[in-house]
Amino acid sequence: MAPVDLQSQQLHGALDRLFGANPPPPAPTPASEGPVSEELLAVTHRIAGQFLSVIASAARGLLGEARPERAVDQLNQAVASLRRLATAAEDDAHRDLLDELDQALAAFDARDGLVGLPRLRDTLRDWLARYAGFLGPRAGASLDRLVSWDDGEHPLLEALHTIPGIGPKRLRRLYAAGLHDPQRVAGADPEEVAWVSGIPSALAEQVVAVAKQHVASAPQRVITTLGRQLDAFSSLTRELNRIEDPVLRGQAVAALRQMADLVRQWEHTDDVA
Amino acid sequence: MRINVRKRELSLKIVYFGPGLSGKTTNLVALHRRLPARSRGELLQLDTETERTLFFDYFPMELGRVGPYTIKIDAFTVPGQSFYRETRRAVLEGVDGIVFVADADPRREEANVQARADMERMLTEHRRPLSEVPHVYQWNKADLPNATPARVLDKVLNPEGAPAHRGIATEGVGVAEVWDLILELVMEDISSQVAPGAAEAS
Repeated sequence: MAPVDLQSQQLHGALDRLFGANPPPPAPTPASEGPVSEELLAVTHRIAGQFLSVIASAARGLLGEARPERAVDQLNQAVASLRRLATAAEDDAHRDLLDELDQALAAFDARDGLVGLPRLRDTLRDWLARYAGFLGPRAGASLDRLVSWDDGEHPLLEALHTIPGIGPKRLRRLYAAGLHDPQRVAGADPEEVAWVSGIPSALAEQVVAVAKQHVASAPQRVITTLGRQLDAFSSLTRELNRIEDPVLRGQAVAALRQMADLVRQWEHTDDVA
Repeated sequence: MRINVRKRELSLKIVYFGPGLSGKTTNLVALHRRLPARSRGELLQLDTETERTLFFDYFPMELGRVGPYTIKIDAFTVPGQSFYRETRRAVLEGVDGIVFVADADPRREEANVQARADMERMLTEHRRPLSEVPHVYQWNKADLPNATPARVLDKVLNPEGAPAHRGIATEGVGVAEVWDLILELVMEDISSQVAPGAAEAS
């Protein structure tokens, strides 16, 4: 390989200007022995931020989920992927956080049912907030948009599981290949899905077709959920008049105003306009 | 680029970009083998069960010293498949130089075009238009019997006339050449970019 000309006066001048005058004595470390690159850490944290949506989605699935072990399985997969990133970057703080979630998942026993699920959900809520904080302000901001704990949304993997030929093993393989986001899979080339996940092309075509259906039906699911929430809200408003305690009435009014604000904000988005 | 004033280190980031299966990882592995052991760090490959890149491949290296300064390089690949866009975006952020590995297989023409458009869009999102980022092309798999000729690839993918080189990455052909080309461009870019007073301004 041709050596790069590191001795040009122009380059020397540029570096002097970048670093300023009077450099301290350098302490050289060969690349093979030096500390992990800051850039590698930054890249792994940015990629880990993408997994927040996966974890939040699985966490949502835990509440009211008939088979919580599937959501736990998804979380375990996510932790395994994240651990690969953290290990690659020799990021001990990252690994410690993942260990915490790992332990909570290991301690969860599906047979605990009503007791165990809310406990795991609360642990996850706390962990996710700390994890987003660890990954940085951008991850924190995206978490704010992602986490909604009571909408009962089911992830794409549930839908994929209904395809004949997609059993737990292939589902895990799809997941491990990063194919868990409906929009992403719906827009994918089936051949590429087959390449990365190792499933046959015909099955990959079905996977993409199901993802497309899933994405297409999302607006209807939102409307259905909204209808359910409205029914629940109607029954709540009847109970409101029975609240006499002024502090509790104040809290109820504050919550109602917050809802009204949300509606106003939504009305002003470009989508509605 | 990252500047560590205390250690007098300048770290630069080179990213191998291109469609899925075009040979980005093959390039990086071949390059890693060729570099002197003392100057290169460990090669990380974060792949899937089916040996496709899921996250990225990476190795660090020390390019050399300029007076009291050490110049380090972080070399990355991105996953090429369309659905890993967010991962590509994350890797591309803060890039100093790009090697675009195009696939000379005629059946991958559309994939090449889409990958280049994807790269251009992402750079714009990062507020670094392609015209301002040093980049080179490698026309890989040039040994295929029906390989798309370099002049055709050049016309379709390289209207800006960036440096380009044919490659057979599996045999190590063209690997060092594009690496040398991109390093040269990146060092030129640093030299010309840092005008007097620019360091104080940033």
